[in-house]
Amino acid sequence: MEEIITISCDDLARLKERAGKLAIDKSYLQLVIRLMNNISAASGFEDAVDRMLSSIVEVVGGVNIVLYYTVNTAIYSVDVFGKKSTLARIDDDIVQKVFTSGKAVECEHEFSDTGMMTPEFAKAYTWAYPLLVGPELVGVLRMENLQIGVSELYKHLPIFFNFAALILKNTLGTEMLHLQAVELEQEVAERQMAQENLQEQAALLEEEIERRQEAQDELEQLNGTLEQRVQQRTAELSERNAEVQKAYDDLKKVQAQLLQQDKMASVGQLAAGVAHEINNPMGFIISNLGSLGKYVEKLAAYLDADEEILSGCDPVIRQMSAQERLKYKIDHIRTDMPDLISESSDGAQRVRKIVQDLKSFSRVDAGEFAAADINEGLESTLSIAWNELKYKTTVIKEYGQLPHVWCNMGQLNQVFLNVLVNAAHAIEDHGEIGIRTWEEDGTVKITISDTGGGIPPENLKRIFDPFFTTKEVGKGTGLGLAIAYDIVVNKHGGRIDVASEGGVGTTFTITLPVAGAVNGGSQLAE
Amino acid sequence: MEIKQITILCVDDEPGILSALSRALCNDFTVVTAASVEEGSKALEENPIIDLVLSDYRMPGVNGFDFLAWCQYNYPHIVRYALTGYPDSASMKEALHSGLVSRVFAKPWDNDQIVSTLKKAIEDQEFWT
Repeated sequence: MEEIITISCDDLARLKERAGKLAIDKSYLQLVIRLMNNISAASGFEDAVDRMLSSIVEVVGGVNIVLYYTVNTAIYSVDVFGKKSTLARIDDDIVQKVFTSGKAVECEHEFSDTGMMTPEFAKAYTWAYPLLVGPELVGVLRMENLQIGVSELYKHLPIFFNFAALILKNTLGTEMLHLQAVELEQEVAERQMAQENLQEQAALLEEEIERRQEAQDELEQLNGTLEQRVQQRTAELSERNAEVQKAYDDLKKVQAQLLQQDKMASVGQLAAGVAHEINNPMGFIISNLGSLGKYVEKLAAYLDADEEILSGCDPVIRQMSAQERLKYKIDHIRTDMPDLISESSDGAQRVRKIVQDLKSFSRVDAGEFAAADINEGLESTLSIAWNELKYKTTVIKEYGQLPHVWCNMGQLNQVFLNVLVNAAHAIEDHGEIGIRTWEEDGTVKITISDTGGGIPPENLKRIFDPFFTTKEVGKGTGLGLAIAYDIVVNKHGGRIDVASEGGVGTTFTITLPVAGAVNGGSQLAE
Repeated sequence: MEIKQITILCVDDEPGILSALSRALCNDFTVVTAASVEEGSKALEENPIIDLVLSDYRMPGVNGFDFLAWCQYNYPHIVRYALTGYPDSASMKEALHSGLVSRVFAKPWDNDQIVSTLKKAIEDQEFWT
């Protein structure tokens, strides 16, 4: 049985009205739930935003809906058409107000600004609503040109907005985490790549370093060997240079000596030629003097015989003969003739001796070694040098008994002459030259000493050097003693020594092996 | 002991030498002189009794060595002496060594030495005649 109650009409009317309101509320709530369902099914932040915006347009209406949200400090905006932009700053005053205050802002539009056709419906609003999760502002939703007709719905929207804020924050957080993860992954990947790159580069670098090291090693080695080679080459070159210099010096010396010897040889040749020319007339002068001597003897004998014969004759004839004898100084001639001839002979013999000495001194066949008497050599040299010696020196000779020496007498005579002339030059006014020879231990020694001024010690070491001279320019070649040294030491295997004392004099000692130089055979072959 | 007389041919381009030699030697020997090689060879042909040639060896034209060699070939029995200003020269020594000449006298010479040497040579029967 149906229970029937009775109520007043007013109550009924109130109840009906209430039922209507509840129905509207329910439908609004259903809308909100739909909205919430719409977005809660979202997967990810972007999807959530899309769903939120499109659901709002679909359910609530509005010309445009823009969501502003911040991630860290960056500000983004997304509109219902999916246009997403990054903002340097918030360009909308209303939104800015919401961001700073955290409270919803509502403002009415001018009609002109609504885009509506009829003024009755032209009441339009723009809402900006904060999306809050607790005190934290997640974003701001701006809804343009909302119609007043749905204003009731707005009372219920904050629930959705709060829900949406939560969803957004969640999805954003997830998204952020995801993003961060991706970013991290990316970074990891990048870092890995970078590391790989680095490793690769490191490997390359190592390779490069190795290569460079090798190159450097090679260079160093090269450098080392180069330096060594340069040093070696330099040493070689300077050695070569010294050799060349020495060879040049030797050549110069030899050339000078050759020149000098050549000069001596030329003089010798000339002297020998002259000597021969003198020898021919000297030959018949001496011979004729000899014949003349014999003639004179015969003449004298004849005169004696003549006188003998006359002694037995008439005194008148004897008287006449005596007068003639007196007139022609026959007695004087007879006594003087032998003297005249012997004096002339002496003179001729002296000329002969000088020529002989000149020849033996300047022997043309100067390369010949033979057993020779050193005393004879000294004698012939003395006669050649006599002109230099006779006025200011007294020559004291002490010749010992000498064996014949295997030598080149012409060369040795040159040595004696050089030493003798030097000795004469050392004596200023008048002095003595002593020549002594003796045999000693298979050698023949010759000393030639003078009482001249002596040789200063600093010059003593150099007197055998070629070109060393203390004489005026043009007076001495500085070769005399150098040649003497060469002849005695190199050609004859002997020694030439000098001792000198200032103010007392100088003594040259020449030592010659009697058997000649050890390599005398080669000397012979010269 | 009787000394054999010998005939000497002196050859020299210097007349003074020739007359001096004649004076020095004519007392003891017969002397023939020639002032050139040509004269010398002619004298040899004309005087078959020549025992000795005493020649200079440095003369104009044909030199003394060639003349002496010619003598040696044509008149091998005639003894050959040299009279020279170069008694020590290598060619003189070579001439002595080879027998081209058997004695060498140096210029200037000693008359007595030559005479006594010749007398000694005759004594030693060095000459053919």
